[in-house]
This record gives sequence, C-alpha cells and structure tokens, in this order.
Amino acid sequence: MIETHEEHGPDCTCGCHDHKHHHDHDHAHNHGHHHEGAHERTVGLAWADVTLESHVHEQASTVSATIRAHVGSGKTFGALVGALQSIALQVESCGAIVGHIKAYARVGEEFAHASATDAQHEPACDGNIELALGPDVQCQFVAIALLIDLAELERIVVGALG
Amino acid sequence: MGAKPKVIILSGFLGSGKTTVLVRMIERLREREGADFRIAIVENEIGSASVDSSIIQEAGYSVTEMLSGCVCCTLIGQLVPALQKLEEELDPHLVILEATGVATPDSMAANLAKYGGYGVRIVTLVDASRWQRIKLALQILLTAQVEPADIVCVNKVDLVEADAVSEVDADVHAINPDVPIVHVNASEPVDAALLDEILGE
Repeated sequence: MIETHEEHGPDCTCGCHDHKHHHDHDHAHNHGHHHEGAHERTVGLAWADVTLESHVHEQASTVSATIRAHVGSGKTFGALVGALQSIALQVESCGAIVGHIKAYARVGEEFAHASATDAQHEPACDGNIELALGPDVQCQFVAIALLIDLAELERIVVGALG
Repeated sequence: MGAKPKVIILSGFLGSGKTTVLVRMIERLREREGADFRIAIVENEIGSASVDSSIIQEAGYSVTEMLSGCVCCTLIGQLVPALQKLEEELDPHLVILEATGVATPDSMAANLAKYGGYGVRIVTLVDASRWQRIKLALQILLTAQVEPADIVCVNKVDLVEADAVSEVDADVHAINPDVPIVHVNASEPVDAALLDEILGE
C-alpha cells in the first residue's frame, strides 16, 4: 500500500492521527456543532488508487472515497458490496453505530449503487452489481459511523477496500 | 420570477430512508402536477462526495449539492444564498432540501424563514427498524430531529412487528406530543394521500 500525503510530507511529525497527516480546522458554531480533523490522502491499492477525504462532524466520523480502478482490475461492483458488509460488521464489532455506508459506480449508461445501515441485513443494491471496475468508471464510496474514532474508521475502510 | 417557493426540509438520521422517500415523492408530484411543476432538490452531505445525488440523478432529476458540511451549522451561511440562486435560475414551485443525517432542522428552518422569507415545513423520517438500537445512544440528536418536526414519517414499518411500530410512535409523541405521524413502507411508493400529508396539503 502506498500513501501520498498531499499537505504533509513523509517526515511530518505533527502527530495527528496514526498516519501523521492532518488539516485541522475546529470551527465553533452558533450552537456548538463541530466539523474537525479534515484531511485528504491518496492510497494505492493493488487494484485501484483511492482518494480519501476524512473528517469528523459532530459525533460522526466520515470517510469519503473516490476510487479509480486500474486497467484490468479484475474487480466488479460486487466487491464494493462485500466491502460495505465487511465495514458494517467491523464498525458494529467496535460497539460503534453505522450511520450509512454507500457505494456508487457509473460508466456510460450502466450504473450500480448499494447501501448498508447495519450488519444484520444484506446491503440494498440497485443497477448492475456485475459492473466491471476500470479507470473509466466513476466510482464513489462513503462510510459514516458514530461513536468510532476517525482513524479507526479510515483503517477499516481502507482494509475492506483493499 | 413567481411566488416564493415552499421549502420542505427532509430531516432524519443517517439511513432513515430520506433519499428513497425523496425520489418517490418527486415521482408522485410529477405525476400529479405535470412536467411544468418545477422542483428544486438540494442535497446536503457531510462527506465530500454525495452518493445520494448520483442516485437522484439516476432517477432523472437535477440536484444542487452542498458538500463537506452541514447547513444546520458549518454551511448555514450558504443556505439562503444557495436557495436564492436556485430561485433566480429555476424559479421552482417547491424546494426539497435533503438534510444530512446528523442535521438538526430547527436552525435551518429559522434561518430560511428569517433571512430568506421562505415558508418551511420540516418532515422528519425515523427508521422503525433501527429505532430501538439507536434511540438511547443518539438521544440528543434524534430528539433534535423529531422535536421541531411538522410531520414525522416512521419509515420501514414493513420490516418490524406492529408492536415495535407502536413503540416508535409512542417515543415520537413523547418528544413531540402533537406531531402527526405517518407510516411508510420501505418497499412501496408514496401514494397521493401520503404525499398530501407530507406536504401539509
């Protein structure tokens, strides 16, 4: 796995999160809501490059991923459905609460999407889950969970996608 | 530009079914009002990407996105200008704002009314299938979503027993005693009567 930190270099010693990279803005708002710890990085998986944007909003840890699959990745959208289930299971195993986990892919007229809100039910799917993932496919993935550390959620998401 | 559009705030916790109900509402509205009835959809997401926007666009509707924050707090200053821009460009009859799943709709409604002069209706969805699991852990947030609601849609009632639905109804009325409650099936379209209740017509 290769990580590219877009704002902090590999020698960064800021100490924020386990990947030593942050862009922290802790807004104080009119009724106490917070949006903090936002950062972006690119992770190189064997089958895709994944750009992650992560932050905490109130109690909700949020990881958004834009996935660019390699040529001949060998992956279909079904692999993302499996990742949804895996993330839901791991989040609940931590005692945390799944907000929602969603995946979407489109190329030309073909699309697929899936969502999960817990580990007890199969993800809801629509479209063609056999859609082959390649560099021409627009592909997004979002995981939101509560009562879980942001770095832990990010680790779970990257592990499930990998 | 015509009369100021009514604004529906579609509120509710993550996974409560807001996007599904939104698409079904629009389908029913289009059938009833015809293609000339202009609906503006605003999607707010705390994430930097909106899968929900893509789903709504798949259904054939255009969406204005407000990403990476919440219009009840971090993006609140952008809400009225965004709607005013939509008014100028689309002149919609109705605006449906799908809030983030962690939004508290009272501040949005107050902001829209005070600074934009909009008539606002808060529609809050609760997920009957997850209510027991989340109601204590997320009590403050869920209360803040139900308390200011003009109507509460208890969704996914087909996925739980009748007793569980009654418990959700009782909890909702404990928070907001006079709020009308409607039951919504996860797998069925929004019918005309339900649409009228949601829209307050």
